[in-house]
Amino acid sequence: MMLMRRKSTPPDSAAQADESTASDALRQTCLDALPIWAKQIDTARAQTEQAIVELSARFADIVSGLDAALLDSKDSAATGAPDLAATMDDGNRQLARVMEALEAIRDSRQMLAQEIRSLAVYTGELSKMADQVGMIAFQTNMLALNAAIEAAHAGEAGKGFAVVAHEVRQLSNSARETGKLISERVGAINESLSHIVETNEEAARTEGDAVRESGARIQDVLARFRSMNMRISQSAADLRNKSAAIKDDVAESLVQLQFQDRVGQILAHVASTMRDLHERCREPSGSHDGVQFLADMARTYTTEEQRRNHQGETAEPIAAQAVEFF
Amino acid sequence: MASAASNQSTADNEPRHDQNQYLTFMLDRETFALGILRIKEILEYTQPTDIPMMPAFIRGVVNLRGAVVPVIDLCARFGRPSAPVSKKSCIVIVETGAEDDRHVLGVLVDAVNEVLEIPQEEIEPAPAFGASIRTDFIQGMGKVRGKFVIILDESRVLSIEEMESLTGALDMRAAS
Repeated sequence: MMLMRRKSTPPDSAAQADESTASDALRQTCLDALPIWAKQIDTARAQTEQAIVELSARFADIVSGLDAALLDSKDSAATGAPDLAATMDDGNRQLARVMEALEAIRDSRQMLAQEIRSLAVYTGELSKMADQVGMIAFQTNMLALNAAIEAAHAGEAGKGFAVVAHEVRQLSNSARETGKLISERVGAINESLSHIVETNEEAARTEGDAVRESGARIQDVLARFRSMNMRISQSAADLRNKSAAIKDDVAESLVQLQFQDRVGQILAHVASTMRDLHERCREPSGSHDGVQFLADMARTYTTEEQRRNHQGETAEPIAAQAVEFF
Repeated sequence: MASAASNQSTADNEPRHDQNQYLTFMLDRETFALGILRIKEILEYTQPTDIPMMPAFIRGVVNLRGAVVPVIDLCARFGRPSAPVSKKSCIVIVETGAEDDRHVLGVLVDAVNEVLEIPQEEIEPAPAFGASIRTDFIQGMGKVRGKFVIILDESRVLSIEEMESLTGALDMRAAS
């Protein structure tokens, strides 16, 4: 289209003659200005490129930093959480073992109480025996008294026998005292045995209560630890997810930064075309063929936008992946 | 012969040590004594066989090697309430009466203590009044280890005539 328009408006010869001096001046200005423009564009291009490269490097750093952080947190999530869970389980097991040990203690206490109770049977027998000793003493006493009576009836002849009877009576008294002492001792033993049984049972009761209470408390603490642990891993997972999202965003931004390549290409092309135009301006004026120049320029375009601009269309930004390299 | 007889009589008149021997026993927490020569033996308590129409102080009879022996409850005889029988209760067999009229009786006591010697000089006469039992029952007050023991006069306490008259009165009452 542009070529057509150029063709349709050729400079008419009369105006050409009038404007030749002005055209020369303009040509001279173009000769002077074109290298400057080209340099300006080059500078802009170089600065943009440098800035973009630095920006890209920064973004890449951020991405790799986030990557490292994610890797670390994954490691700690993978190793730390199971550690804690295992510790909890271990705690539970230890608690169960302690409870078992205490149960065993209670069992042995009960066995002890049982044995003490069975002792009571023996002490019962002992006190019966002590009673028998008392009975025998009583009967011996009666015997001795009867002997003394017999001795008295025998008169002088029974005198020696009376002494024997007296001694037997003393013995029976001793036996009675001994029987009484045995009874007392057995009674004391019975009392202290029943006291022991009572104390033992009381201790077993208190112990059982304490054990149950401690167990409940430890269970409670473990449960609290567990829920705390769950909350911590939950927030760690959230953090990981957010970090990953940010990383993805930044990586995408990095892709977006590739626009620099296209801009650079376009600008470089403009600059090189300017230099080309400058060369042609220095050539003798008759030799210049504008149509040929534009056609040459169009042939060297590398992007779709350039081609569209050349044809007078609006150059919409196109997707990065649509870039064609030749 | 005469000298021998006289020797015999002097031996009889001499104070024999066994004549001063006494059996002490308990009745209602009080200690009593009986001369040992009147006592035949001591039996463990056995439930006497009840005899109807007898006064309260006769608990019944026991079989002493075939002989029927009445058992006297001394508490009842003294007009006191009888103590309950315990495993220490005994029956003391006593012989009363003169040479030609002997009676064997059982005496129920709470417990027998001992046979001991109370010398004549340690025996005081019965008090005119203030004793816990009838004065004519008391032969004397024997001092044993600083305490007085009532020595019973068994001829009075176990007087067959008196007891028979009491039983007769009972018989009369039952008959009327």
